[in-house]
Amino acid sequence: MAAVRASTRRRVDAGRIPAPARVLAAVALAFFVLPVVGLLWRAPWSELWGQLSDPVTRDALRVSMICSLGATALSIVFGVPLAWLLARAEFPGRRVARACVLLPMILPPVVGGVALFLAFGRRGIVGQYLDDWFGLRLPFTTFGAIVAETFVAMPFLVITVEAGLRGLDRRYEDAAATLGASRWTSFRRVTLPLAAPSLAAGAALAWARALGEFGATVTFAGNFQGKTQTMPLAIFLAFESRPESAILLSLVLVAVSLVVLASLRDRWLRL
Amino acid sequence: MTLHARVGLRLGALELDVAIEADSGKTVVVLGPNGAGKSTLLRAIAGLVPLETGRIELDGDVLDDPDEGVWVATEDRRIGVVFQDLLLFPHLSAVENIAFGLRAHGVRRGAARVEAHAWLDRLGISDHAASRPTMLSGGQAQKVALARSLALRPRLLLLDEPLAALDVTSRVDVRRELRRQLDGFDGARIVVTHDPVEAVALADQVVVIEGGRVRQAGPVSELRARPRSRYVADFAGVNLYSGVIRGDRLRTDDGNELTVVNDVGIDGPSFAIVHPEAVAVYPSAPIGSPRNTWPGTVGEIDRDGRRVRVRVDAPMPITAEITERAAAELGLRAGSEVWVSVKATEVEIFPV
Repeated sequence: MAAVRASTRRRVDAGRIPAPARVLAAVALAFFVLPVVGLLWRAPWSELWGQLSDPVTRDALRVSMICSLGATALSIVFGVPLAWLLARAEFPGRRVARACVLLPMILPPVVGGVALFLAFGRRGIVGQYLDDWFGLRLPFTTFGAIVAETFVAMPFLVITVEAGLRGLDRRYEDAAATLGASRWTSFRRVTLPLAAPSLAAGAALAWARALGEFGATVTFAGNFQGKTQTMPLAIFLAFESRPESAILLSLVLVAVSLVVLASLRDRWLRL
Repeated sequence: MTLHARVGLRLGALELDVAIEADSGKTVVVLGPNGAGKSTLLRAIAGLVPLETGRIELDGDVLDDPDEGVWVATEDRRIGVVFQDLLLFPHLSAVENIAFGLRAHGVRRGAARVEAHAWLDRLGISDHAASRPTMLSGGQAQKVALARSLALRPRLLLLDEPLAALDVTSRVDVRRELRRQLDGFDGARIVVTHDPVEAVALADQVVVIEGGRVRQAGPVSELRARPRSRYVADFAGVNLYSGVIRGDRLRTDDGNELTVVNDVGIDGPSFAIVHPEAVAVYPSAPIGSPRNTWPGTVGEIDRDGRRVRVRVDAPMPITAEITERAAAELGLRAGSEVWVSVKATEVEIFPV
């Protein structure tokens, strides 16, 4: 009797997670795995090649890549300085600024698209001048789709990089200054390399978010094949009329995401 | 090249108000207990914290003067700093760390690398040029940090606890090397430390700081002769002998001998230090393990709380610190004949 009790306890000690929690965790895991299994199970594999060579698919893939990578690039160019400012500068309204950065993360993307339209649309508060002065029209253009995706993706990069910069030992910057490095040189050659892991993680998150973007893009940039129709938009349209091709398109998108994340994993991300 | 600085600032509980001067070719050691404001003083001179009052002037250039509204940024001061934990850039190799400052000063990549390699050669660590700082030993990392600062030919070199991060065995070697490098640097240098041994080994001048104020300043010999605070007395009260070490014996300059444990392989001119609390006092010749025993006459007796510092005059004079009770039981008074003993393992040695 005593021996049985001892061995039971030893097993519980090894796991330390009570049974009900394990059951719930298993349900949660299944909840993530089953949809992907469903995709693989129901995919009409014989039509894969035909689907891949379809101009609609190719256009959607191309537009998705251009827009998501463009949005990632814009997020880095503008988001890193913003993260630097939020992490280091003391200025009035910093908390408000930070809240504004977080806004697109909690705003429904469709609302974001409408808001972008009001700001950068042809009659928008900024958009009318872009049109009048530069002849630049964002809505319903590829660049508009990039802007929409940047809007929803950049916060992920800013928040991640800001946290990374806050975690750095600032005395390395002191050391750089005593060696004659200007603020800019020390940021470029010391701070940024030390923050590289968080920059990579932030860029990967932003890119993944941009790749999956739907609401803001369709509202602000529309759904024109070869110009603004990204993979998620093409999948949504196909789902109405040809569910099989929606499945294949979804798998293509899953494959692209996995390849990119896996290639980043060993070097930059701890997944 | 001369530094004139009066540094006044508040940082948390610390109120720093310190005047310090440093001349080229000389080493000023700032000595003081932890929290005395030593590191803050260095940071202010380097321009990493601004003054609230006072003035920092180097070679006639005003670097910081809040009254006149003058402020020169750290990167324009040409003051080299070796930080306490070195702060070598972890993402750069040894040679890239040394080249960093040259690059920041506009030296081309190739030329900067050539010069950085020359520094590594000079310090005898060229094998480690491509190593990241985490792969270097404490002594090697220290050399890289020193080279990184010296490569820019600074007007003034500041070192914050340069040996604190090292283990005891490598400290002796690195201290000797540091001394050599400092002697070869023609600018002024300021070394911050809380270790009296380091102060004796490196200093031309000592400035003792306690609680943000200068308690005493002067050459080591002057501090030793007239200590003006408990901290300085402890520092000064250390028994220090200079002489030549051959094997396990130190022959002092005035012809006495001391047995030491020479496990660091010193051969030649050296210092030996004996802390007063390691000295035992006997009424007659002791028989036992201590390698060093000699007779003497009690000179001055200083009471400090329950500790008594006893000066024993002999061919090799020494100060012992014993308890009040032990002193009473031995009936010590000036003129008493006693024997002292020091275990060889308690003698700390380091090369000149």
